[in-house]
Amino acid sequence: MDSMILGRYIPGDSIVHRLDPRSKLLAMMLLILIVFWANNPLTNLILFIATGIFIALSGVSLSFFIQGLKSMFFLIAFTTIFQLFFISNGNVLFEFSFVRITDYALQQAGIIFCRFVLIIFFSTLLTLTTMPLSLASAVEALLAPLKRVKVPVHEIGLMLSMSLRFVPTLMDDTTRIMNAQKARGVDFGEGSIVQKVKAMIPILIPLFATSLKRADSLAIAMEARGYQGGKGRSQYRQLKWTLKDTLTILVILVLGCCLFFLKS
Amino acid sequence: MKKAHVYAIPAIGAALIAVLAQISLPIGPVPFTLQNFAIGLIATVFRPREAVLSAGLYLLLGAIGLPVFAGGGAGFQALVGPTAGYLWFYLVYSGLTSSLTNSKSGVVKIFLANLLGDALVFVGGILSLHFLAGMAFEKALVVGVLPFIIPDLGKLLAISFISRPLLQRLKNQAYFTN
Repeated sequence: MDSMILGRYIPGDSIVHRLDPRSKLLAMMLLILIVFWANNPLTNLILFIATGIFIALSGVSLSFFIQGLKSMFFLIAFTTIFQLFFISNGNVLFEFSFVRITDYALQQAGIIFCRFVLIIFFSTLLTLTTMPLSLASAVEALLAPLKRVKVPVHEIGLMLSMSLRFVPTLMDDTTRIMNAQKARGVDFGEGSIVQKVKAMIPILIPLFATSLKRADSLAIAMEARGYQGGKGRSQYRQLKWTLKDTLTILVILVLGCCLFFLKS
Repeated sequence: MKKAHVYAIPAIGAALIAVLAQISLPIGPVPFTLQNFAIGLIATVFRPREAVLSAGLYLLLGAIGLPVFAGGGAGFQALVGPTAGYLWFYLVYSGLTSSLTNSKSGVVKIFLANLLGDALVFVGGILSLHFLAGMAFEKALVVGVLPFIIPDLGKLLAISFISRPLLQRLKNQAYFTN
């Protein structure tokens, strides 16, 4: 279950690992925004170079990023090919039967492909270099401005942390329940579709029952420990924003400006 | 309901969705994931507030890197990619379906409420395929909706028939008696 707790985090001590999770989260969001401005070969090239530099600085092996691409491979291939075959603007480069490829379609397919790859790389870079619990803190911090419009930011952060804590526990519960039912003769792998669905019930009922009981117990324990809501609370985990974080955001803003002026 | 309970239920709900989404039944050669089955089940069992919060927290869990989306997917790309609409509209699905059902609803009502919610998820899918992947609406309908109608109807039937015994057995839980 450690893999679930760590998400896809790869331990390391690179400059990217040591950045504040808030600056990394903010940087990733800015980069995804910037990607949608990259609509010609020059802007895409610049973004790929910048991304290559970021990946190199993280010290994480490229194979992890390739792996991230693999899980999205079908979607990328499908959408790219779709663009290629169904855009009919521009000069015809190739035509055979119902297949018709134009130079404009080729360019659009290339841009869509690059956009996909870049977004996956940014996202993968963030999740590979940051612990999920740190990211939960970062999400809460970045949502802080929404307090002014009555969004319960502390509570969202609390629920996110609680969820993070519960996922591996419920995963273990599910495994335990399935093994217990197998020991009593329930067969999950055999039979018709209807029988397989029926076999789900002995898993779901105890899982829901124990989960709701666990939530109830947790709530009682929290109140017994003095929990009264977000107001007036201190925080054990403190995030520290440093000069490196400021420079990171500035670099990305400069990158954004360049792409904004270079886009066609 | 006491203050802490208000937060514990959605948190456990999001974790439940995350766990159930990982179970896959080997039906034919293609693994049949239960991600939207899990959303539908949570939407049917929980009240609107807890259902929507559970779905929202589930999206956040996936965004921050836990491999909780179907097939072990994770990361922000799932929320801004061409299939992001399906995920975002889980919020609508959970809100709508939980509004239309309660712990005493019959099988037919549960099925119809989930059918309506699931249809909206398809709307979300079409929108994201159109705006983020550049497909025409008709093409998005053909590739993003039609192939999934039969499997999803199967999931909706499964949700409907599983929810009844589930709700029966859970009726003594504190959540349902408060």
